Amino acid sequence: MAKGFMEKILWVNLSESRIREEKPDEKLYHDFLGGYGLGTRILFTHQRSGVDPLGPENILGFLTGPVTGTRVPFSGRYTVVAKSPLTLTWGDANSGGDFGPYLKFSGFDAVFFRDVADKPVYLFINEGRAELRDAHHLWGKDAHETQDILKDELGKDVRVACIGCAGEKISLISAVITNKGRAAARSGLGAVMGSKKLKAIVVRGNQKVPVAFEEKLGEARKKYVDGMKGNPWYPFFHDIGTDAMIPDSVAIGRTPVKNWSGSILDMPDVEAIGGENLVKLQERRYGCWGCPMTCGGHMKGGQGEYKYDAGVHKPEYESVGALGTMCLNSNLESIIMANDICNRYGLDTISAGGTIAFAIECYENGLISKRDTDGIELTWGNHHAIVTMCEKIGKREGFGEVLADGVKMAAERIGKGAEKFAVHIHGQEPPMHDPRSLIRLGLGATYKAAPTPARHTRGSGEGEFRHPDLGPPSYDLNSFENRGRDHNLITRLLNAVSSAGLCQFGQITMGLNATHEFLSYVTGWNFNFADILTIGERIANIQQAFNIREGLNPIQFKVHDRIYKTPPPEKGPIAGRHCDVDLLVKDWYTELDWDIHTGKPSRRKLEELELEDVAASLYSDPKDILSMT
Amino acid sequence: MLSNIVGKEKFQLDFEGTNVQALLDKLVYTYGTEARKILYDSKGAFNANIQILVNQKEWVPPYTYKETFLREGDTLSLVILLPGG
Repeated sequence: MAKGFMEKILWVNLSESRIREEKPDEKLYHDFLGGYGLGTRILFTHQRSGVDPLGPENILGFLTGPVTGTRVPFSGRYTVVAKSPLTLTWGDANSGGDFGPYLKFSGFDAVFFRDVADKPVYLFINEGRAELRDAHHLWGKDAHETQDILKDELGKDVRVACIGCAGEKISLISAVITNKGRAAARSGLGAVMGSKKLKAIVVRGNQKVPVAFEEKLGEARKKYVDGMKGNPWYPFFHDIGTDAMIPDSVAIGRTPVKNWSGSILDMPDVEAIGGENLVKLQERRYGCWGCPMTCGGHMKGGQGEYKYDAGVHKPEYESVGALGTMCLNSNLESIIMANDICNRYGLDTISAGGTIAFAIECYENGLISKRDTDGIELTWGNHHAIVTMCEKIGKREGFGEVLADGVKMAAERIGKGAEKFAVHIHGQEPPMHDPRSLIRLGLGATYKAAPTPARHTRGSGEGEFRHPDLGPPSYDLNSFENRGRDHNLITRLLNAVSSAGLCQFGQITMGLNATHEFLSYVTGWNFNFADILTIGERIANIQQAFNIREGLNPIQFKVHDRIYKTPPPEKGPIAGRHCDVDLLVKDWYTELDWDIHTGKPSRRKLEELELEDVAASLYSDPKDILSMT
Repeated sequence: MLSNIVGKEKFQLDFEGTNVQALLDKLVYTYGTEARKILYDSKGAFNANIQILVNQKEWVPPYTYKETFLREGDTLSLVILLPGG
């Protein structure tokens, strides 16, 4: 058996309080690694199509990767998986912190939950022994309180993954929180956890993750960590954090402004929320488990009108964008406060900020008034309103009830044409990266047509991951052709990186060879770059197959005009710019060998990737068999 | 990083020329091979990860360096954009 794995996954039936261990086949680990790769394979096998994502049949999984918990740098990640209640597609959310390594130290590579508990429970895995415990005393507590109570009860050495009130109240934009501020946030998976009355997973363990070649791993670690410090991104991540250069990012049109309708011209004071100002309010740096770069931070206590606690997490780039530039909010302390509120209640900050920006635009246009918003003036830059609304969304209180499930549902509830302000892709609010800005052209295709819509972490096909064999990228921003090959490479790579348990920022700073090299030293399998691209391709195909089996066609996913700017903006850094996303998708799908009309992976491709059962599932209609002969 | 080669993060540069490309050429001329390696890849294409802003507000798309004219006193920023997170 290869190393890097604990060789056990846990299955928990919440309605029967039944727990069993399973030892996966080695080939499963080899072909899918871990994270959402392994998660998709397991859910495709064990879950039928058409389940209610908030019902008992939706399987909820927490997975690590083979490098998680080893001496590989940036190896602290874990992933939550389930069918998404927000988009009804495949759903996953990746997060840092240290929960992932400690899940492995407790003896398991992954844990899956079926059914619904009769009453609130939490799972406690203590040195390989798992039991369900009553969580009645935790229900209603925020994520910070929940962690504190569990550590008081069970010991300071436990690690906790939990939902806050938002997940309990089935907010479709709720998240799973660890370390009081690391969030597995996208796809609304906090709601799946809440629907199962599962409040938390607590782990304790001291088991060592086996490694095949410890000495080579140590040498590689030294090589990459030393080399990383010469990478131009390193000082920005290390010294400032992911929020570094947000003013420049707004200036070139990468960071959306004013609910995707504005530009730097609407926010001339954007410097106020730049990373250099944010880091002045930071008490100390924070790094996820095994991270040599430590891009996170803990803040000093709020001294001004926002009295957040000392030690709250520094907002990341996405949060500063969503709660800042999207709402024309240049009050940095309010962003820190709002970010902490989202962490406490367990909310996706991208979705929360995007939904509040939508509400502000509805208010501006008279679709809602103070009578609807509990007397709150929802105006651009009104940071008091933004902070208050985060709390209301988290509690589903007052107008927060309207907004608590994201922009798509909020628009349906408000009516009166509100959907024209609801920027989303098939229900998911997009992250803070404009597909029309420089070196992001492939992102348009990713947003629309990747298995998880509106996801920047599936790759843009440009810039930072250039493979030397592919030559320089086309700088012509009016050219949308021939980008599929690049795009395909990067999405395959990132699938493998994430499923391995690595942080993508680690991949960026360590370079293209790091993933397969570290995987080889940990597992003992002799991976090269092409091998991990194949794994990434296999993962992409099975995720797409999951969606196709659900009856979905990503080609038909509705994308808000503002993301692709029809008509293009008249002023600002991306004036006149559009993104021919249909051409990008066509080019990309052609490279993938997926049907450009239905999104269906070809039978040939599925069989090439040893996904024969998936092919049989998708091509079981006699008409399909006939059409192939 | 370019600031390591130049010795400072902000500096003044006199050059003969009127556009952004001329200024980039002057940087390479003044600071040599090390500057070239940072600004351009081995095939001569400008580093896709570097963005250029004029006066902190106006972004210069890469293929317009020859057509983007500068005035006396303009500030040019060369920035590396983080992919966010």
